[in-house]
Amino acid sequence: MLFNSFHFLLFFIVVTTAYFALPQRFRWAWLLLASCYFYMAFVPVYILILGFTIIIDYFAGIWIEKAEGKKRKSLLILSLVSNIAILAVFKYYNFLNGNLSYVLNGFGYQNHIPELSILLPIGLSFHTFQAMSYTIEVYRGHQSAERHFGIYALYVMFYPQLVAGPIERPQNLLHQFYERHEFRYERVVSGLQLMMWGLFKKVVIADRLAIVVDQVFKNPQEFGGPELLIATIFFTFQIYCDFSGYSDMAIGAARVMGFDLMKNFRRPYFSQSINEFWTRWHISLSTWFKDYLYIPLGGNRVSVPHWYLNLLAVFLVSGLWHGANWTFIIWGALHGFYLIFGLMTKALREKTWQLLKIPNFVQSFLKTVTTFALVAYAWIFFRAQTVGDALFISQNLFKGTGEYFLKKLSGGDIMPLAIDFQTSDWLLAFGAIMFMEAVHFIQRRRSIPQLLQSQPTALRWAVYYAVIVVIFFFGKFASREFIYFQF
Amino acid sequence: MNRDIPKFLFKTILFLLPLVIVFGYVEWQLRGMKTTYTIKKRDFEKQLDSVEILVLGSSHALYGIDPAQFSWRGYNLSNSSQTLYYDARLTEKYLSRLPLVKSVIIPVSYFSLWYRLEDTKDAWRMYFYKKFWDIGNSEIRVTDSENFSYTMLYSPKIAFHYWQRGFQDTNVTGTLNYNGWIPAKPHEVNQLTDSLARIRVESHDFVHFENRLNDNMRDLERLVIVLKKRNIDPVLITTPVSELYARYADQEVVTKNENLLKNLAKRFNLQYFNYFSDTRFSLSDFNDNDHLNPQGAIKFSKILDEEALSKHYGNSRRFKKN
Repeated sequence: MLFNSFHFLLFFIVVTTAYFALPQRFRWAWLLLASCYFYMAFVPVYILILGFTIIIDYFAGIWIEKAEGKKRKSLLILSLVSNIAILAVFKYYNFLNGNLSYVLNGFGYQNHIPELSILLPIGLSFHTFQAMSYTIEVYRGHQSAERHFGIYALYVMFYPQLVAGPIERPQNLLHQFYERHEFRYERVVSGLQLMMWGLFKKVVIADRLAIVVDQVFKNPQEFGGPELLIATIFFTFQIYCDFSGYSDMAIGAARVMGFDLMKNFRRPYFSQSINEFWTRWHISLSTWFKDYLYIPLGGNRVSVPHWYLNLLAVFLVSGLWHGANWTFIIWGALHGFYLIFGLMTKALREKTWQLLKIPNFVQSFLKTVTTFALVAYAWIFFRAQTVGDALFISQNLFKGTGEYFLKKLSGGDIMPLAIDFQTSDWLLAFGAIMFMEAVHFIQRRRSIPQLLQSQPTALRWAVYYAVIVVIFFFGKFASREFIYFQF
Repeated sequence: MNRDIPKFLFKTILFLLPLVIVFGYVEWQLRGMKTTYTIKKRDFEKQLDSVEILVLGSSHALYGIDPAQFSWRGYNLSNSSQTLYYDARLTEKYLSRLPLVKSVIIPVSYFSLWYRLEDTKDAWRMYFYKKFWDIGNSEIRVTDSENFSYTMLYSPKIAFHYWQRGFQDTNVTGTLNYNGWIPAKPHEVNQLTDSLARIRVESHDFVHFENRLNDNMRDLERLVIVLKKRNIDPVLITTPVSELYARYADQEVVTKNENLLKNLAKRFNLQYFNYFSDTRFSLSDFNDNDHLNPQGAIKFSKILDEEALSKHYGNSRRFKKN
């Protein structure tokens, strides 16, 4: 069930209404039931896998809490291995097997291990990581083991964040299932506002940009530099609008019912460095890696080469988390390299800025543009179907591109872009991106909901009507899945 | 009771009221609008007893085959983006009520074997087949808004466009002939250019999915078997395209299509006519790179009549024209 579907609209109304109508003691059961239905709307049988991990981690939590010394650690390792094993089978088996075949073929041997023909359970990486954070936190003593099986199951399965996060921590979410949530007007309106904003980003921007991106990335060899560059920039915005749109809808849906989920995005394309980008992009995942991988590896409290290795390792794992393909691993490695290079040259760059005496706002602008370009370049590897495609796009990104845009600006005679995209869609795509970035710009200083709240009702409602009309008339409702569902 | 609940309900109703009124009005107006689906269904059902030649297929047949040029009474049941899946099911639905039909022309275009309606941006048409012809599709879910609302069926954007035009019937319905053929209206801008041909082919290549071949071949075979059982002759054809389109078409796909259809024809002892790059058609016969204009459609229909029908049935068995 997609958030941008009529099915979800009906589901949300029924679930939320019943949630507030039910006595507190039944609410957890109702939410769990709703979450099961939500998950089973994708591929019903995969709820068994989810159920299996829930049972393992539920008991692991209790046993880890009771155990002491080496046994405690062994139980944690057992729980983590179980979770990772499920992830490995469903997500990485064929990838590893394919690579094994490649290596064996190189030595003249044949790999007889069969390929598995299975579908990746939706949101597997998300709920596996959320479940793992529970057992780790219990092991660290930051969270007491949950005795109520239903509540624990709900912690893993809570429908707003079940399939694409935010990846919650037990300390933030578990206790909320015990709290009584009253119907609060302001809270409900705020949640609905956020859901509407997320829907706008998804159906008006992301799914419109996807038309261009899909065409170009399907067969990049058939396109020239201008199309490749446009598709790369479009994908940069598409993935942001798609994923942050989902997160907004998830956080908004939870907020309506009185739950607080963690923020997942903070205007990442306004970042002035890659380091800053990772504090603003997919925050729930980057903090997960920081807490459970980077710091246990030693973080930055080790020798400099070791520190750089830690960073690279974290980003390689992050790449692999996103998908079982070398393209994702290279994407992760690129970000690792950006960060390390940034750290190595930090002092030199700061000195250069001082020497050049460039005004601060110009510096900020240049840093933002550079960061955006680096991130956009890395997205090529994330989106391309093969490493070969990504390399082709990288090599041809600027082939004839400057000439094309110069001619376009001067009104010269040029070949039309070989992209099937209507003029109205171009205008809407650019207009909607500009609008979103303008909203983000305002958000740097003021909260949009607060800004709206301070306006007269007529103006506020006019804004709501305008956004609804734009979503309704210009949204793409072709049941396109969210990009991050595949992870 | 929590005071916030009545406040929220009151404000929600107040906020939604104008939207509900507008939505209700648009729904009511759209319900009465005619489309090629509703008109074709009405007209076709009136002619079931007299139809002798049935034409199926997508827009290539819709604009490209005028049954009036046949020597037998024909009906063109094709529609834009109509796939083999729907060709087969539409035919099956009406076959028992078509006592005189002797031949069914099944056009298979460059892309027909490689896509399903649900793969394309025309997927919304599935709901029209469901709503007006009662032909389902596994991709349609009970909870899809298109099942309940005409605004969602047409899409809000199109619905708004119709509203601007006073909810008049759709453009094409005005030119839709009683025999199901639509003479294509000339485009305002010349479509017969090299770059537009390339873009057109690319848009068709974009819906080329290898994994759809088996399903489509199964539908095609299913259709052929059903027709053969009733002693009706299926005639496979590939409709003509402009030389510009043919130049950009993937030759491997063109050859594959031809081989698949030839094999099928051989297996079931059918007629197959490939007009894909037929030199009898020049640019002046086309409205755009893969659709014939009215002059080209008449020419093509006469060729079909001569080569696929008259040669097979003989002149002596000719009935009066429509």
